[in-house]
Amino acid sequence: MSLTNIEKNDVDISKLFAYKSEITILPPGLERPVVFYQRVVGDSIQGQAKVYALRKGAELRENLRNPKWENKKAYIPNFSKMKKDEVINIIVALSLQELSIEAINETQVTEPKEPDGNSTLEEQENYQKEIDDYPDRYGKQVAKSLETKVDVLKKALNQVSKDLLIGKYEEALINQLVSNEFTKHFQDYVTYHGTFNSDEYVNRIFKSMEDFTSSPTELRKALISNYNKLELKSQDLKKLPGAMP
Amino acid sequence: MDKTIKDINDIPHTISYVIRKRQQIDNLSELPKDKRPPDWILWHNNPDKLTKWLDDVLEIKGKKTRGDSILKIPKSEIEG
Repeated sequence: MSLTNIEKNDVDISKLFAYKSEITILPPGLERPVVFYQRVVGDSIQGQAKVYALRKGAELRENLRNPKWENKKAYIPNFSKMKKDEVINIIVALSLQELSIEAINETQVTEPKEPDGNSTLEEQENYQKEIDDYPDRYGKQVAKSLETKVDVLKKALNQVSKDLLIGKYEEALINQLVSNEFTKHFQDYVTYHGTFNSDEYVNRIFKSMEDFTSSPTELRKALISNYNKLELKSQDLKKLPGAMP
Repeated sequence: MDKTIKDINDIPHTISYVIRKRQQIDNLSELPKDKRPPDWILWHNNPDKLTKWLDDVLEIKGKKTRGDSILKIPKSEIEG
């Protein structure tokens, strides 16, 4: 999918209402398949999920920053023997997600102006061409901005000592690990709250979050994957006719 | 209507988002055309950019906005 598709006529509004479904899975250890009913959660649970995931992320960040934490080595390897160039490349790689978000936020590409009601067919054709070309123009602009940001970061990192670089490496790695932790717990929370035992969608199928998180990994993965398919992503939501001016 | 949605909290957040966005767009459409935020700000998912735009076009920054405005209603428009 393109970075920012602004075509308004390729949106299927029925997707917005496909917010629930059932999935049949044979959980490990059981003889018969089980039907799970899933529905996209409401605003309140979505907000609670964010708070829950933030707290879990903060817990991990605190542990990772604690030199005495017993599990730290499992997450952060000892990289003092690495060459400076290697450390820089890894820091850049770990920073790519953050830099990409910055580049996207800073990129402004003027959207084509819709022709008025009296426009000729050719004017409408030209407008459509601009709409079709927009994702490519936008993507190139973001890529250019990202390239500049990577160059600036590399130059800045080259000027600092290896000890300082190792500190930055550790911080970048911690950010990445915490970001993954946030996503994991967020998805666990919404999937647990959005999975029911019948098509009445009243009683959750798992008794508690602990019950869900301790269920077999295969089962959890299947449920999270199916739940994610029900959620229309914000990029597509933006193009829904009901949300357009 | 979905009969399994019995409470406002059950409404999928994706649908609430579209309703809120529609309301926001309708509200902003009340502004004169030259003061309305462009699409890239409206759809940026960054409320700070929208707030800044509105502060700038409405010249709110640095001005007192509470208690210094008087709404004048002509007597002819008051019922009773």
